[in-house]
Amino acid sequence: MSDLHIWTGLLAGWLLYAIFLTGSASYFRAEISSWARPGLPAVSQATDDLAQTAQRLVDAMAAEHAPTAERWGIFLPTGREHPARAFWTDGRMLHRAELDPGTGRKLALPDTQGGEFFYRFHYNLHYLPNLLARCIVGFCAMFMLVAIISGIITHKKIFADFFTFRWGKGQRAWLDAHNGLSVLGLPFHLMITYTGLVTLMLTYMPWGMMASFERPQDQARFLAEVSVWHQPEAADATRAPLAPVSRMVRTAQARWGSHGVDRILVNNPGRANARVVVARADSGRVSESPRVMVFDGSNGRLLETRDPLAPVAETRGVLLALHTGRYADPWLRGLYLLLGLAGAAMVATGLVLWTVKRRSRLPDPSRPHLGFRLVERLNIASIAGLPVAMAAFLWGTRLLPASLPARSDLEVDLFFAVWALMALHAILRPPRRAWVEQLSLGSALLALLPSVNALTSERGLHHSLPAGDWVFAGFDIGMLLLASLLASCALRTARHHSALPAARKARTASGSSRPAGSTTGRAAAPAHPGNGASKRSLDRSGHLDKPGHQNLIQASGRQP
Amino acid sequence: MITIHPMHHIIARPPNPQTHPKMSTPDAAAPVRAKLGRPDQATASSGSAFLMACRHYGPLLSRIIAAILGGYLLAVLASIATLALPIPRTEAVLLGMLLSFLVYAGAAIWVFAVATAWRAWCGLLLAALPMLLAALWCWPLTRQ
Repeated sequence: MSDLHIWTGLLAGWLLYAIFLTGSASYFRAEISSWARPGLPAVSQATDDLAQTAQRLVDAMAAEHAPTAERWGIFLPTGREHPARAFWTDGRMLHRAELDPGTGRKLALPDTQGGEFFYRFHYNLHYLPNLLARCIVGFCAMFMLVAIISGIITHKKIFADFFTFRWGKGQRAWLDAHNGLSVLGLPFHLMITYTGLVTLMLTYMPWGMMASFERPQDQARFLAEVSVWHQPEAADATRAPLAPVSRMVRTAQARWGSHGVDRILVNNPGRANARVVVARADSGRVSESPRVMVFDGSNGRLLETRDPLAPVAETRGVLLALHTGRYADPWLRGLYLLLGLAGAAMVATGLVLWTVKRRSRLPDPSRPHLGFRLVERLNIASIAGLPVAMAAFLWGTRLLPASLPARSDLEVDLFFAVWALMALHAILRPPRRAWVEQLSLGSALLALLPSVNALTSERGLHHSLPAGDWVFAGFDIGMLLLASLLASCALRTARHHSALPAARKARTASGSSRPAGSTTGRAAAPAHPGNGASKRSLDRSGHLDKPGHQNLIQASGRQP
Repeated sequence: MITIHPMHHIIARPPNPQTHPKMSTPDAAAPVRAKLGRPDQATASSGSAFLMACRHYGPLLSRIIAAILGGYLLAVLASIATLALPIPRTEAVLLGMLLSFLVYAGAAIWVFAVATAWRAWCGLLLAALPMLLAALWCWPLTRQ
C-alpha cells in the first residue's frame, strides 16, 4: 500500500535533500562567488578605513552610478568578500552593481551567479513564482519540524514512521548510518528547520501583521521596523548635497567597533530630506536583529538609534543568525556545512530505505510496479543527480565564455539541463548502474574542478597554498574531499553485489553479521536491498514466519 | 505520558483476508451492501467498493486535513491571539509569528497522536476556543 503519508514524506524528502544540500553550500556563498571569479583580488583583511571606503562609494554613486535614484543600498566590503555591492531604485526599476571599494567604479567581471544561486535555490527554487516556491519549501520544512518534534516526544514511534528511523537495531551499515546521522544531527536539524521557517515567517504567517495593520502604509512601517529598511518619505523638491557619510560611519563605529558597520542605505539622496541609515554588521554577534542609526542626510545629524531592539525582535534576530551562520568564523561555518551534509545524507538514506522496505513486499521483485520504479529512479536522479548538476554549475561559472549575453542565466540553465539529463539517465539505465555512473560522474566533475581552476587562473592549488590564499586553497581541497566521498559511495555501490551473497550466507548462519566492506557513511546510501530492514518490516506486519517470505527477502537482494 | 500510535494503526490497510482474522469471512462488505439494499454478489459493485474505501481512507484523509489545514488555521489563530498580550504591537505580531510554527507542529502531532480522527478534530477545536476568544477580544483594538 502506498500510504498518502509516505508519499508526502517521500516528496518532502526529495525536496528536503535538495534544500539541505544547496543550503549547506550557501554557508560558503561568498567563497564560492569568489572562486567563480578568480580575476578578483584576494580578500585582504580590510586595512582600508571603512569610513573612507563608504565615503568613496557614496561619492561614486552620486556622481556616476545613480545620481537620480530615489534610494541606494551599499553593502560595504567585508573580510569575506572583496567587492562592495550596491543597488539602487529608479522608479520601479531595481539596479545592481558590484563596485571596487578602492575606486568606487563598477567592476568589469564575468556575469556569474556564483554561490548566490545555491543560496537562492534553497528557498526560492527556480522557474517558479517566489511565493509558490517558498510555500512548497515551507511545507517541507514544516513536515520536517513535525517529524523531529514528534521524534523527540516518542523517541521511536512516529519518528520511525515519518523517517523510517530505527533505533539501535541497524543490522545493515547504511541503516546504522541513517540512525547515526539522524541522532547526531538532531539538535542541528531541529534548530535549522525551525529557524528556517522563522526566516520566512513574514511570508508564511502574515496574518497577525494584517490584523494589526490594515492600511498598506502601516504594514510598510511595521516591515521597516523589523528590518534595516527605513520607510522612505516623498522626495523633497529642494536639492541638497549629502553630508559627509564618513562622519556618520565613524559615529556608528564608535558604538559598534571598527568592523561593526556593513550596510548603508540612503533614502532620497541629493534631496533636502535625505536619510542615511547605517546598519550594524551581522558578523561578530550572534544576532541579525536590525540595529541601525538613522542620520539626516542634509546635515549629518543623528536622528534615531535602534539598538538594542525589544526582546521578541532580538530573539528573532538570534534565530535568524543561527540559521544563516553569518556570525561564524570559517571553522564554525565548516561545521555548519558538515552538519548540513549530514542532514542531506540522513534524508537520502531515508529515501533509499523507502525502496528497500518495499522491495521485499513486491510480488515479483524483478518486475517492480510503476510507482516503485518511479521512486527508485527519482531517488537516483535527486540523490546522485543533484551533486552532478551542482558540480556542472561550478564548471559553468568558470568555463562559459565571459562574453555570453545573460551568462548568469545560462549557468542556471546548465544546472537544470544537467539535472534533467541525470533524471533521463536514471530512467534509461538499470538502477545500480545508474547509481554507480552518476556518483562516479559527480566525483570526477568535482575532482577535476581544482584542475579547471589551475588551468584557467593563476590561483590553482600550487599557487594558492604557498600564497596562503585560503579561499581558493580551501575550495579546491574541499572539492577534492567531496569528490572522494562520492567516489567511495560509487565504489561501495559497485562492490555491493559481490558482497551480498557472502552477507546472506553469513546472515543465515549467525543471524546478524554484517556484509564485508559496508561500514558507516553515506557510502551505503545507494546500496541495494537491506535484508535487515526488509526483515524488520515484515516482522512488523507479522508475516515473517511464512516460509515463502524468507525466500522473497533473499531473492530481493539479487535485483539491481 | 503521551502515547503515539504507530502510523500503521492509523493508516488502515485495505484488509487482507489471509491475515486479518476478522476479515476472513468471504465478503466483509456484506453488511454494508445489505444496508444499501444491494444484491449480495461476489463481485462487489463499485458503489460499495467506494464505501469501503471511504471507511478505510476516510479517517486518514480526515486526519491529514486536520493536520495540514486545521493545524495551519490553529497557527493563524495563535498568531492573532498574541495580539491580546499587553506588549507593544510590533512585539506581539512577531511573537505570534514565532510561536505559530510551534503551534502548527504541535497540532499536527496531536492529530496523529490521538486514537480517533474525531478526537483529533475535537482537540483542535478545543484549543482554538480560547485563542478565538483572545483574537475576538483584541480585534476591535486593531480597528482603532
